[in-house]
Amino acid sequence: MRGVTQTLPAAEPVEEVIGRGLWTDALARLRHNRAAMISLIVLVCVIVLVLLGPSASPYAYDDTNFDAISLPPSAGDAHYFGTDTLGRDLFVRTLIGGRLSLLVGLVATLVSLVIGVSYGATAGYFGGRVDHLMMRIVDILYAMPFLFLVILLLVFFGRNLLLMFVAIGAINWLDMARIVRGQTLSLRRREFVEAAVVGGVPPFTIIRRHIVPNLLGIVAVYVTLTIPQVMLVESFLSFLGLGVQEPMTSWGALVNEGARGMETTPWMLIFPALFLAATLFCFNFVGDGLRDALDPADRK
Amino acid sequence: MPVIGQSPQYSEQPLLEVRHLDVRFTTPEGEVKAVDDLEFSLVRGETLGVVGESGSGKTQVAHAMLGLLAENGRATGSVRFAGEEILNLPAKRLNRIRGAGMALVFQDPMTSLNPYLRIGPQLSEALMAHEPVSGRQAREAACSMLDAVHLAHPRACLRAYPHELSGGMRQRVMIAMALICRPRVLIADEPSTALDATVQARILELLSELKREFELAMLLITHDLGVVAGTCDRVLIMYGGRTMEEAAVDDIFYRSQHPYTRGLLGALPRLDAAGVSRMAAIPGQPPSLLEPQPGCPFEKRCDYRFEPCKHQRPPLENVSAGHRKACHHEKLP
Amino acid sequence: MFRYSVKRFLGAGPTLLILVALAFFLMRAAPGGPFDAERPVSPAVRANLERAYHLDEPLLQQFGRYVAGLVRGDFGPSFQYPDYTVTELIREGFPVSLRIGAFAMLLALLAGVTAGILAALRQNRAADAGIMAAAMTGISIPNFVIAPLLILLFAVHLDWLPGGGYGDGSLRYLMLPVVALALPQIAYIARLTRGSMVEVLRSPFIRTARAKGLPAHTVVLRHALKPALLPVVSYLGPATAALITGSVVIEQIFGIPGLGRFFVQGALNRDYTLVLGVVVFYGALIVVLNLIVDLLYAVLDPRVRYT
Repeated sequence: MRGVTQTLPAAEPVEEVIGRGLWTDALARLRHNRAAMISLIVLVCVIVLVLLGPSASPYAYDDTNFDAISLPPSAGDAHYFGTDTLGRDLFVRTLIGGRLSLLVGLVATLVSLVIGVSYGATAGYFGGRVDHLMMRIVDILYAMPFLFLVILLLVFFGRNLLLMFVAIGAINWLDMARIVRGQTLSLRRREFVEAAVVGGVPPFTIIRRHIVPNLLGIVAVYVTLTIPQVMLVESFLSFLGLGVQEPMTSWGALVNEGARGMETTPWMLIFPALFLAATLFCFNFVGDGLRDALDPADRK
Repeated sequence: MPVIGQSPQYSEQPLLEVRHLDVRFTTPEGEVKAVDDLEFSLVRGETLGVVGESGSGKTQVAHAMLGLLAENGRATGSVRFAGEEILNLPAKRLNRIRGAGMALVFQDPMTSLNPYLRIGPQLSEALMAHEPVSGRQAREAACSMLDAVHLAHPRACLRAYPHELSGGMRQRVMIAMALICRPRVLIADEPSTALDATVQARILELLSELKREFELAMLLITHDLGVVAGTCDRVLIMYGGRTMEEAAVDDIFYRSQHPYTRGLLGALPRLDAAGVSRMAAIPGQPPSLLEPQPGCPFEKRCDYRFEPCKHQRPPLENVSAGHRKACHHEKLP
Repeated sequence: MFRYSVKRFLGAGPTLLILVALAFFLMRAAPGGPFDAERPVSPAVRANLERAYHLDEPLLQQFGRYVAGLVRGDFGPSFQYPDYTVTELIREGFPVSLRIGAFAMLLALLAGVTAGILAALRQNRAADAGIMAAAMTGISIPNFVIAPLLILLFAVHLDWLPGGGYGDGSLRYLMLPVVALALPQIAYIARLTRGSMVEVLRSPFIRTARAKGLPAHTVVLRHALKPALLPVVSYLGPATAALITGSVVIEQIFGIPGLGRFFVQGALNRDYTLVLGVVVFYGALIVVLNLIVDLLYAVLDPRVRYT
């Protein structure tokens, strides 16, 4: 084992230098992508607004007021986005709903990240028969109508936020697993990994120390692209009434309420819809930009 | 080997005449000048070898002439085919010449054939694009063309998909495809590089044979001076997008006046030195075309460099009739 | 080709079985039975109900009974609509959903592929940027947001089209739901087509085709189109799944009596067998479609057939 401790320090600086160079290059390229940068700024604004906005309003998200039902937007009484059919302030509800939508996006993506990366890295690292079997399972799962299974889960086990987080995350890891596996397969043949293998480092240590850090780029891209997908699923479930429960809300649930009265109270539809669409749009653009930036071969 | 001494090429009007050809690419890192002020001509029945390392711009010359440059590339200068200016013609007018007047054999026969179409249609469509023939006639022509490139079982080949053929067979198909419209000029871009050594030799033999049979003028693009020896009449040596030396093939091999050509000759495997094969690669890397130097592109790797090489671009000058070189040295030892 | 087909066909079986098992045991593992949600019933009535629905048998036997029923096309009774079997509900709702879904798929393919090819041929120019920005918007806006906006514009303000209902199933009624359902898929397919077309147009065999002197449209239609469309063919399976998912909300918004609407009603009413039946039915549909797509792919790509 003494030999190992001598090989590793020599191998690591090399890969770190490569990694850093890649990232600096990629960030420089990303900065030149105007659409992605604007999207990033919009996203930061949305997140800041969602976090700080509600405390700046005199209303709480579940304050009903039957003297102020379905008011149109006005700055005078601080109902910037108007009120809903129960007289609740829509500005606060939109932002609180945004917190939940973004939270689901992050948590469920994290779940899919952990499952996808460990599954893909394991399959790619071991290769051969293990890889074949594990990817066969992924193929089978690809054919599953997962969204329906999530609905089944929510119907059978009741509407439970935690369950929803996990279930949405658990259906989105397949792409991640496939991509990570492909990357791992090629990393596996690189010198610094070979050196560690020859040195007798245990497989999971190699995966953790050498493979996973080198996957960061591609994983970052897919995280950015998974977040909007996951948020879409959440809003879909909430729209159907299978997601969050009143008085808690999310953008999907707000769009659902808004769509019912859109002829008379269009603001109830438009504000949450705008926030939802803009956020998804920006995540997609940033993810696309990140992918182009990290993969120079794909550029025009 | 053809006799060069009393060659008629200077009395006849050239079939292909290239003057002041520049090819530039716009890349995110800046502009790249891949071909710089290139000049050459080709007469009927002649074979000109264009030799250079990868990245010397030789492939871009072929692509520029037929308007096949990538989106970010553009060519300036003049390319005359049978007296007609063809550089940067609109695709519609260029299409009359592509394939019919001047045809290309590409480097990699694995990827240059469409994997989703059978060989037959890929051959016959080339003919049908230029001549008013029926589908049946085109198929017959394709079949006899496959026969001409010595493919066994031409009829079976017509029905095959590219991936069902070996590399050598695919290159024969590529050659048949290039010749089916009986072009006057054939440009062969590294026609044997992607193939096994034994197959390479046979493809080169085939090209020489077809050249006589079809009375072709040929532009043979290669990185391998060894390939040139048996096939070409004249040779043009390229480096960093520029012409270094141009001469009859014997002059290149026995009377070269350019350090780069000598370097290439030295890099050839030699079997005459008591059975020992010696390969002396030229040290160093080809120049970056991103920041062109004011002087000679070969300066950094040249054993003979002296002061002017760094600052002044050596002009292309006559050494003797039909032998030109771009080097500040009057005469190399 | 034959061996390949058999292999794919045998692969679809386990997938389906896993799906049915997963859904079935999830249902049985759920806390509380199907009759808990309503007002309490007397133990005797409850026992009778459970016997009628075979809930008193061992789990595996129930599963076997269910699978045996499925094979005969019997999805069991509905818990909430006692007069109907799930099979009858599917038979009633599916044709409506199929009609909308098929039109949407057709529209998505035609519009998506056309837009993608146009963008690829005008690569990096204004038309390309415009189409791709529109496509990104289409992907980012969920169809349950698009649908109300379409209704607001075309039904409420302009009053050109009915804002809901299925009517006689004529094109007037189908127009808005089909467009709302298809839009995200148009966007996705356009991006997919553009990407693969750009890549194909850069490949050496396209250069060969151009070097032959073929006219530009022959190069695109004969040489580039087929390889460029292969990713779209692979996407047909996921696209179907996405359309089915989308139809659930679209039918809800437009009040269309399709299977998706039954599904949502069933989910909200905790109608276990109905939900289970629809999931199994749609799952089977997707698995079978994936199989067909795989075979189609093999027909289109000569290199797959022999492996």
